[in-house]
Amino acid sequence: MGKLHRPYSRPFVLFALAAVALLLTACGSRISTGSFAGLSTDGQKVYLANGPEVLAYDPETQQVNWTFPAEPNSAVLFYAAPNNEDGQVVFGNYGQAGGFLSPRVTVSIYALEDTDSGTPPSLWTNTTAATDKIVAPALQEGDKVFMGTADNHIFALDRTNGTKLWDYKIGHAVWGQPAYRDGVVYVASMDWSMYALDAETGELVWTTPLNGALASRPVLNGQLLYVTSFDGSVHALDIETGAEQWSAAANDAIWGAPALGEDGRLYFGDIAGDIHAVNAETGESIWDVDTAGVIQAAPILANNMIYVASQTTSDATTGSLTAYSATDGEQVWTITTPVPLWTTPVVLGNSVVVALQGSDALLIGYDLESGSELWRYVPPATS
Amino acid sequence: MWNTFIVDPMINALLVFYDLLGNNFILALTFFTILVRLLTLPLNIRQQRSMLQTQEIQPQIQAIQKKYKDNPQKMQEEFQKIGYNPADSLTGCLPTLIQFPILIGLYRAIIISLGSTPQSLFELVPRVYSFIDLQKLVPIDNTFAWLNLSQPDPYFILPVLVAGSMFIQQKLMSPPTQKNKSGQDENPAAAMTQSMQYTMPLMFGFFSLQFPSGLSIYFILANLIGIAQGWYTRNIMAKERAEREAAKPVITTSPNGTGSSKAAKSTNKQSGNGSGQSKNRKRRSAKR
Repeated sequence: MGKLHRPYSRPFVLFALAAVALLLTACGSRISTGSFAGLSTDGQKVYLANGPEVLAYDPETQQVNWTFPAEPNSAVLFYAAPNNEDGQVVFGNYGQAGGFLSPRVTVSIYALEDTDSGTPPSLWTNTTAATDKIVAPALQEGDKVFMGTADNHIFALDRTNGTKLWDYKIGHAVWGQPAYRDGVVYVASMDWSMYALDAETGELVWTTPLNGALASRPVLNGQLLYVTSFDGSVHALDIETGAEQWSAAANDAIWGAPALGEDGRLYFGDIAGDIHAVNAETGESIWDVDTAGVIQAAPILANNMIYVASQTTSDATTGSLTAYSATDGEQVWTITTPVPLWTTPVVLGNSVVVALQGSDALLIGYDLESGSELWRYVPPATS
Repeated sequence: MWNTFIVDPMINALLVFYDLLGNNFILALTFFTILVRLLTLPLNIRQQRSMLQTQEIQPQIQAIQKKYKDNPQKMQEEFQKIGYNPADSLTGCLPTLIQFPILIGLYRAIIISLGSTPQSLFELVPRVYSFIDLQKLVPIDNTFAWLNLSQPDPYFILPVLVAGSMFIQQKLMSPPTQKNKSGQDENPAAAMTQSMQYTMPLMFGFFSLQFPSGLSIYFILANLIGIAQGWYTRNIMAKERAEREAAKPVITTSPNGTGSSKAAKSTNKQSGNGSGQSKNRKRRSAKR
């Protein structure tokens, strides 16, 4: 009875508290590291960055061409869609902790030579340009690679050796791929601003503050630049001055990039599940479609159809891939997927390809016309 | 359940403070820390007073434990006489126990609020109460001075501050140890508390190498408030002790052999007998 007295119990509780802290450190992730898979295509293969692995898959042969790294490590994660230009694939990771005694995070940017099989040869690796996650896909243009990071920087690397050429500090992270035209690189930032930078020097050409975070890539069309915002609007800016020409309101925040059609229309979906078509020159509404889903990914266009990946409903554990007529927004077909679709699909040949996180199949290709499944990639089970 | 009652309210509190305090996450965190400490202040002060009081009578507790080790009932009676109740230790630990959900909840809340990936932001949305306009708040500014608040401090400054401030706080809450002739601590419990003065700060400093900077800043703020509180409680208790000592009757012997009492500054030893000590402790106990 007399054994329980305060000076003994207090250290015990403090030790228990320390044990909980240790548990948090050991079991909890240092930062919220998971994210949506990044998907891209070069017209022949699809490239997928999903957690500890980046892979190239050829739907025609139904073979995985390569995976990176050779020995996947759950401590190093990849979610930025790989960018392939002329056989050079560039992407960054989410950073790797320096070890238990080192708080430093090392973020790496890789350039690999695209191959049909085997381990892709490394062309260069830059481990110093960024200090926080690479969420945004890189853009390879000319002799440079443009990237935005989660440590609030936009920079250019030498495309041949990865050396940093210039760096521009902004107010918050970049989650969308930059766009480029005529010596100017355009970057949308989560700091609510759109930036135009001189591609050679990194000097600011113009910046336009908007009314919400900008999570997606900008889309260029003639003298206009379109960017979607969490303020629930698409904004059209003049690419020379950054001055806003028009904005078109949706019903909720817009996350994904708009899709520009050859028909002079701009298509976008909002978080509330509505899909909008507006005149790309004026922003005037053409049609709206209300769906029950949650749209985070960007819509994509092919054959006068719009393909929208979504979560079926806000509390559903399933996803939907739906094809709409670009003409009037009428639904052509829809399929239900076993998990919500957060990643923007890609069109490859006659198929629209979706990435499925947390499902047996990692990639599925659906027929553009009918929505019937053409192929699927199921990764081998890990022992 | 855990998210609904612990993590989500913390996230929303942080977001409300962030909104009210000019979109400054450090200010929001500071305000949040002060609020939490204020809410637990009565418990904390009670715990600290109780601990310091127990430390004062620790020699007597040990003597009783030793003397009545085979007679628990008698031991309890003697404990009661000196105003000590072992069951109080559970109440005394309450503030520390309350820190468990706060610590774990805040860890999650900071990580989710400062999440710098699309998925983490997406997952934040359903956690936010409808009266908060999240669209106007995101993304949360995760920078402060040289720090990325969602990552550990790369320059080791915060871990050192966490360890240093925790050491001072622990020091204020621990009794000085007394060595016996052979150089060993007379009170092993106090000795253990002493050793905790060093191990706990080192452990938390070490953990801060891995924690997001935001959580390390919470620790530092909480420690600073704890230091202020510890200093205040110590001073108050020293004052009360001085007042008790001043009010204590002192037995003096007159030349003709008759005893008279008067208030005097004296120690327990000067008061000269066990019954005097017992009375003083009863007084303390009643006050408690």
